[in-house]
Amino acid sequence: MKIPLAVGKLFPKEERLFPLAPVIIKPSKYPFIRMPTNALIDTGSGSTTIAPRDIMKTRIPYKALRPASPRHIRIGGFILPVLDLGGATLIFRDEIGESISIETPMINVIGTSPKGEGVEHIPTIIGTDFLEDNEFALLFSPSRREAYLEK
Amino acid sequence: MAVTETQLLEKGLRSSDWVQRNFDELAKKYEGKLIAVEDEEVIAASDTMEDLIRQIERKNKNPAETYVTSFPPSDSIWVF
Repeated sequence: MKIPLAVGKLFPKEERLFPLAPVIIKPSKYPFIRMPTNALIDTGSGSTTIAPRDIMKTRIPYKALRPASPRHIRIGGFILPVLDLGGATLIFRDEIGESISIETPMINVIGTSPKGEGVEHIPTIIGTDFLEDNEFALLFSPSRREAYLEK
Repeated sequence: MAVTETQLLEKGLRSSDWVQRNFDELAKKYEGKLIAVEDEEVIAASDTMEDLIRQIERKNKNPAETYVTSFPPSDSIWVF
């Protein structure tokens, strides 16, 4: 199975490229919500986490979510609360254009804090937990503008 | 008629492709802001997510299913 990724920019005035996964996230507790996003595949992160901007647009109240364990995440220079969204389905598109649904038993949500100005620029991250648990390998060649997940 | 998940994925792909094709121009215009994109058009832009959501809702769109991205300020290197 092969999931093509986008190879694209994330930052103004920064020419470097990143592997980005077009994905729809469907939280199990809120099956009527479908959240399309472009997730950064980040092998420096052991945890798949939904960005504040993506969770905020769903209108799922932070108060409805339990603190995750550990309770905080250090990301992009911020120390932010991390909450447990429970299980979720991640829907990707494979190389022939068919959708692929992958269940994940637990996914974290990054909270905000009063000192969190700028947290809206943090993207949703797919970490090594997702790659390992689902036996995906990541191929990323920025110079060839090629990236995909494969198993 | 409800949009299927395949259609929603396609829509998101089109929006992200369009953002990447026009990245430098959009980044110059919207540096430091969040934007919402639909049908190769910026339908809302704001400094805050709350305001962006309100703008999307005023256009009778579903914010959860709208493609949102941002252009962080260029005065810092971001490392996740």
